[in-house]
Amino acid sequence: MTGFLGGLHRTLHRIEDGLIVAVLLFMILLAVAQIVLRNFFGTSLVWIEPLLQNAVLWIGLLGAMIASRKDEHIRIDVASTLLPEKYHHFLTTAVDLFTAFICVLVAWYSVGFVIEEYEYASPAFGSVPSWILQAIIPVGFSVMALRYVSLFALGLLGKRPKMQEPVA
Amino acid sequence: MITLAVLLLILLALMGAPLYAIILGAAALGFYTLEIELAVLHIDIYQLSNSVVLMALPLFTFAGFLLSESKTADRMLRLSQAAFGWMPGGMAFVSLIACAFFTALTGGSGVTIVALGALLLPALVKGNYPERFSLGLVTSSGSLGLLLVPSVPLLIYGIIAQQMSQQLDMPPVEIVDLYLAGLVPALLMIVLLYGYCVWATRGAAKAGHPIPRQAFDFRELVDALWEARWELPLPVVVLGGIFSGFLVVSEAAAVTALYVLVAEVFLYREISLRKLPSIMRDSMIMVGGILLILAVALAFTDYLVYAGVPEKLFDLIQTHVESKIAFLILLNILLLLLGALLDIFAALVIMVPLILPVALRYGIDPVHLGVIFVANMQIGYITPPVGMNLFIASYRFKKRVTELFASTIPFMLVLIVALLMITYIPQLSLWLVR
Amino acid sequence: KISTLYPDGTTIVTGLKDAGKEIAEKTEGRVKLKIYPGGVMGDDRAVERKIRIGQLHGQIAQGGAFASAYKDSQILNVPLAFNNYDEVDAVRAELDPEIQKGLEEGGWVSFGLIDGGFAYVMSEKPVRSLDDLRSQKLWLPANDEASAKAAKAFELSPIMLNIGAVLTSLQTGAVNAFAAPPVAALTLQWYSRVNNVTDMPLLYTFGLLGIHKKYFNRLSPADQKTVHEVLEATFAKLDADSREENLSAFAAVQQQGLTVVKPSDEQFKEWKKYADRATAELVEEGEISQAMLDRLNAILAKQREGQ
Ligand code: NA
Ligand code: NA
Repeated sequence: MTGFLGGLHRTLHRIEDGLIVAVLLFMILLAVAQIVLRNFFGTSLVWIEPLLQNAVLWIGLLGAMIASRKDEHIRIDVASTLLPEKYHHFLTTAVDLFTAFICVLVAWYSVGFVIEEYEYASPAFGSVPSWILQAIIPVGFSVMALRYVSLFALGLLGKRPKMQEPVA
Repeated sequence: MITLAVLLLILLALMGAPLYAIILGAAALGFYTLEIELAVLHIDIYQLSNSVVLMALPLFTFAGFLLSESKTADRMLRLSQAAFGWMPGGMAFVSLIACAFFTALTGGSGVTIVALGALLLPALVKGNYPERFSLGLVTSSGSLGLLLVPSVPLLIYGIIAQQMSQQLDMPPVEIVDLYLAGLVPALLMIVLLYGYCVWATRGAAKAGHPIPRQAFDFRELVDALWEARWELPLPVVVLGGIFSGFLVVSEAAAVTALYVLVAEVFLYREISLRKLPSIMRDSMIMVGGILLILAVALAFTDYLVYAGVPEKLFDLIQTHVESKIAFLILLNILLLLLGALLDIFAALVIMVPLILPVALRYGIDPVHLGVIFVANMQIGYITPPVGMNLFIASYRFKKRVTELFASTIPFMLVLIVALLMITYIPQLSLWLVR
Repeated sequence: KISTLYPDGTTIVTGLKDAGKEIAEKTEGRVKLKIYPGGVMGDDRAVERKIRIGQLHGQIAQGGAFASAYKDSQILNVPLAFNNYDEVDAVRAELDPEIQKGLEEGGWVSFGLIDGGFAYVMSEKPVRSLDDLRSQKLWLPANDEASAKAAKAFELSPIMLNIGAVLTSLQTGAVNAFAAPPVAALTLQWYSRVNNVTDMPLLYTFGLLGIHKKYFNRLSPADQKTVHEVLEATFAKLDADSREENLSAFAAVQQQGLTVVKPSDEQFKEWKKYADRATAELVEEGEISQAMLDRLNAILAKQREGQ
């Protein structure tokens, strides 16, 4: 990918990477701050707990988005170990299309709900509106849908990366 | 029509569709047949932000990645060799202990074989242990600490059980209780495996290839201790913090992450600050995969409960199974089969909501059930077709999965003996808890 | 389809299930009540969202869960408003219908309130004055705006923990005081870790069943009437039963060895001063209307005069 699309691609990668690192750091620091406040100052801050809980959601979706770049998701991979290599192409094409469809489905209903939540204007905690925290769900599934569509396209061109499990 | 869709989902799963997409597809299909608006999927996924302990998962995993990126494994190997190298089958014992602790510290996220395997395997072979034996030992030990604190699978079991605990008439499932309950079963597994190792290698001496022991050297032990000085306090900090009530589990994870970060980056200086962001990112990709599965499993569980599936399942089982023992036998067979097919996290999130309510009615303690579950799943790590340890070992040692599986069979049999004891003697799990 | 946080087997869930059977009989199966107990469907907010999309139709929850539909339903939760249950009964006789009407206008059909009992301070060291409480490590539920606000008005610096961590935190001394209705303190075993209970009704609590109007209105008028009759009778009984449970729970915590301490008149005045300030803030922020507060005070004045 070159030019404008390639640039957009790299920018998105950088935003995702930056955000997930920031959220993780933030999580460690806030949690430790709460421990210190409680055990040494006998008090605690109201907003830390809900913020930490929402950070888990954000890490989950950001991590899932990044894992979708090369389709590194947990799977029960039976067929590709049984079938010879030349059929793998067929497997990934069908599977990518299905995964993209599911992501679109979730993103679609999720967008609808978040818009409604925005109109409802219910706060999650303090004055933080809950639609902002929830917005990561439609964003995440939209990005994943796009990635599986492009994996599908790459598959048709014969350039798709191999199906793999997330291995440390 | 519905049957066709279900078959299609199963087919896609076998073809290698990501598990999250399969579970979402199943939940969506279920809600669709009940004429519920599919926005329910969003609501259920958002429930991920509603857990009080889930925060521990990213934090423990990050700490685990840091440990495996630095030279922690070398230090642990040296230390356990200095402490236990003099015993008969010393190197085997060292492998078991080192793997168990490393897996426990890294939360069973699969990094044990990557981090320790490359050190242990050559050391075992050099120590005159047969290669096939050594391969089997290392591959099957890679999941040995799954029942030890702060195991992530036990944590996830606890999270799911807590979510269900108010609905069901059951004693509370405290995460701390699960960790206490896992202690004796984990030790039992280590002892039995060690016994097998000593027995299996006794022939070597007769054949004229005695396995050398490392003479006990106090000086070496002190040096090894000194070298590991920044990492040794970690279990004390975590366990002490949790059991004294100074920290709740999620906070213990935050302290662990910060502690390991400071130790590896600033004290040992084995990880540069510049490398830190990419380690954070890589660890969170794995976490993201797991959290996504947990989130969509919430949606699937919601459908099951909404449609009253647990009640129906129980009625079905109850008409065929009468005694607690028969149920436990059925449970072990089912879980071993599942463990052979599914990844541990997938198995947990799919099966616990189904099995827990049924098991309760047979009078099985939910804490005991958690230990049974994870012990079964631990064996699942080394059973094909889906065995994480087999995959990782194959990648790490450049061996074929079938060859690795053959080498783990004797160890698997020993673990099954341990599993049966754990299942049918609940006191092994519960005497520290109830 | 109704969700509740109350666990299966409790008086309320059992009572509701029986009512469901009765309704199904009387409407010849046209109306069925399916109860999801124990919070399987999620917390109040998740349930509210599920009601919005029609997966669920109603919920039994603490009064606060419905406050956004009708703010003045919080009038019964004003701190230190009541001295005893007689006063509660006098107020509820007059305001219950009002609250139900307000909720119905806000979209919730309800069938009567269920007594939740008074919340009392329970603590390791005796708490008589507000300063006594300030020197304790007071637990408040995490993620709960209303109680956090109240704590601020009372100039307390609480420790927020999730409800599941309270028992262990009490054991280890991370917290050593909390405010809760005795029934909750008993069932959650919290009472076993404190020594004193302050005999001062800090806050009145209640629960109710709300079924959203858009689903309730789908029933035929005749069926609506049947449902109203059965559920109102059920809730009247549940209300009385819960009151009994709350009273005996207060006696039970004393039998379990908790010492009852009472603030002096002087100390109580200080509590009251801060409570009034907190109430004034609620009015100022529009959480409760002045008119409603005036009505509460008028009923209480009349009741106290009659004594
Ligand atoms: Na492992
Ligand atoms: Na397996």
